[in-house]
Amino acid sequence: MTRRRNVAIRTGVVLVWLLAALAGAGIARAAWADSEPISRQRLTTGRVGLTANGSATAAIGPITITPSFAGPVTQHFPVTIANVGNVGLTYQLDNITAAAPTNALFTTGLTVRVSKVTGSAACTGTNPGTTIIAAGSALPTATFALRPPLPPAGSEFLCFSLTIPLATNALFREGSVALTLHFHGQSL
Amino acid sequence: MSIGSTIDGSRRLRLPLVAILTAVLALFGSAAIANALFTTTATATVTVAVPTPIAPRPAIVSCVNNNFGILQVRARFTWTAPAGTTAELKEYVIRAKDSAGVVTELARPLKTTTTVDFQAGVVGGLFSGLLALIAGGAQPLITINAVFGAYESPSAFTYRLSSAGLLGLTGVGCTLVPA
Repeated sequence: MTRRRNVAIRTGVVLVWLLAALAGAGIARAAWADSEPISRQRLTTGRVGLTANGSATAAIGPITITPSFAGPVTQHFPVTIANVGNVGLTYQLDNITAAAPTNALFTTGLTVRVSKVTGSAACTGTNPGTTIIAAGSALPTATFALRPPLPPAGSEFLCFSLTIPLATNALFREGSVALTLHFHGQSL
Repeated sequence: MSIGSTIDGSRRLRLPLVAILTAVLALFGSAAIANALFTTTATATVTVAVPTPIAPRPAIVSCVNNNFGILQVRARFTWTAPAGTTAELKEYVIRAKDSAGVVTELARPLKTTTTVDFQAGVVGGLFSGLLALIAGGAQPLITINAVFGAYESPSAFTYRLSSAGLLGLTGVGCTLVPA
C-alpha cells in the first residue's frame, strides 16, 4: 500500500514537472512566424546641393528700373540654378519674399515673369526664353513647381523679368525693395 | 533550469524584435530606401530700386518780343510737346518767380496749347500784372513745364523777362537762363 502510494506520488511529481516544463516551453514557442526574402540592399552615401548663381545665398544687383512716361519698363536678371551634389535632384521656387517692412513696390508696384533661357546672355529682349511664370504675375504669389531633374553638376538658366507700370499708372511706385528668391531642391 | 530560462528569455526578447523589423520591412521594404528624399535650399537676394521718374520738358521753348505798339505790349512763349509722350501728357504749367524767390503759378494751359502771350495794355491779359512789375524794373523768371500725372520735369526752360527799354515802345525782353 505504502509502496503503491509512493509510486503514485512519484508519478504525480514527474507529471507535474513535465507539465510545467512543457507549459513554459510551449508558451515561449507559441508564436506566428512568416518570412519574406528581400534583395540585398546596398547603402551608399550621397550629397545634395543646390546653388543660385554659384552660391547657396547669392546676392544679385542692385537693379535699377528707370520709370518711363512712354510705357511699362522691364529689367531682366539671370539666375543659374546648379546641382552641386552628387545625386540627381529637382527643384522649385517656393516663394519670393521682401525684406520688412514690405512696401507697395513689392505688393503691387512690380510684376514678374520667369523663363528658362539657354544661357545667362539670353536673358534679354522681350519675353526671352520659355515661360515658367507668366508675365504680369504678382511677386507675393510667384512660385513654380518642381522642375525637370538636374543631374549631378547639371544646371538650368532662369531669367527673371521685373516690370514696373507706366509712370502715370495708379499702380506705379517709387522706392526700393530687397527681394529674396527661395529655391527648394530635393533628391530624386 | 537556469540555462533554459536564459534561452527562453533570449527568445522572448528576440521574437518581438524580429516581428517589429519584419513589419517595418514589410511596410517600407526596399522602396523606402530608394525613395528616401533629401532636401536642400538656395536663396538669391536682389535689391530693386525704382527712382523718381524724370518727366521730359517741353521742347524748343522760345520767348520773343511780340510787341504791337504802345497798346499791345506782349511777349510770346512758344514750345512743342515733349516728343513721343503726348499720350501721357496731362497739361502744362507756367510759373513766375520774383526777385524774392516767391513762386507764383500763373496758368495751366491745356496739353494742346503751344503758345501763350504775356500781354498788357488796353486789352489787358492774363499776365498784365506781371508786365506792370516788369515796367517797374522787376525781372521775373518764367518757366513753362510739362505735367505728367504727378510729375514735372526737373529741368524746365527758364526765361528772364525784363523791360526792353521804355515798356510799351520797345516791348519785353526775354533771356534764356542757363540751367
